[in-house]
Amino acid sequence: MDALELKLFSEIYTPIRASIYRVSNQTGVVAATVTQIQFDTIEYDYANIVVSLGTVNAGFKIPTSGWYLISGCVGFSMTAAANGQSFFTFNKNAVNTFNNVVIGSQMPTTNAGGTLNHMVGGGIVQLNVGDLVGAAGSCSGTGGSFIGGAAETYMRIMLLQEGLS
Amino acid sequence: MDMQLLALYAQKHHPYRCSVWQNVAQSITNTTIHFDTIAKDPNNNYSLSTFSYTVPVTGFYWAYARYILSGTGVNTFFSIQLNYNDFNNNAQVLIGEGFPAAINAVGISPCAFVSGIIPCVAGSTILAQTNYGGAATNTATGQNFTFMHIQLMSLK
Repeated sequence: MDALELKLFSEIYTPIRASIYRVSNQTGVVAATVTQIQFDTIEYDYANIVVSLGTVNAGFKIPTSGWYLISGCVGFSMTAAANGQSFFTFNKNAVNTFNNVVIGSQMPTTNAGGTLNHMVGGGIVQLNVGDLVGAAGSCSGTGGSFIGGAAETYMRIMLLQEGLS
Repeated sequence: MDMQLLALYAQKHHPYRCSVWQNVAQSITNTTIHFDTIAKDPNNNYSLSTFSYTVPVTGFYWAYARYILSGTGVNTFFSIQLNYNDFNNNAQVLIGEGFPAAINAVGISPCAFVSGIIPCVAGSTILAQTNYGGAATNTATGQNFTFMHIQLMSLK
């Protein structure tokens, strides 16, 4: 197998794919305050890139620079009825700030607190080796909780192509 | 190029994708969305009778689906989800975003969408389902309004 064949082979069979989620509700999301999502459970992780489960730095440690596909959802429940909005972002490195946003979404909370919001985001991003990808959210109004469950609050990643060119 | 590499090349340029959309309006509450027109389905995996995509090979898929309501808005919340089976053949859902249908009352057609990476086992199906608590309401039809796209991104 020559170098070109090896490159093609490695691109197709890269093991860099992972999915994590929050298994139980994460309470204490204070209005107008950025709260990092503490993912605590692995769905799959073929390259051992999941780090710091159950902490504010839970996320993916990027092993190879390249183009990555990221998607996820954050379920959010307001403490009480309020007109406003909730939002989340997938960030890199300084997860608790929003100056490194890579993907995000926001929802109106005019559902008066009775129905869960689901904020969905996904896209292609360039990431460098060593980057930490995590998630954070916030809301206006009364504050609330990130909803636990594999289909409620999760983040998935997969390498599409190596290199940053 | 040897046979092994040719096989890999074929996988990378595989036919495992579909693009379907809705041409006939559907009255929905909580139901499977009837994408009744196939734009692309090179491997013939989409069924117009069950409105579902049968997963041809186990792998990671990217899916994106959306629908729009055309009826008079009511004060409720509506959304969309994708149903699929994971690598353990357990039923899973990919929850999407929705919005208050009352937005329709000011002249904007409300839209719900879902997208993301889904790990699917061969033989299972992917279909889109609505979550809507109000009175039955018609969808807005058209290739750019109510549709679903599925693409294999990588083998497991």
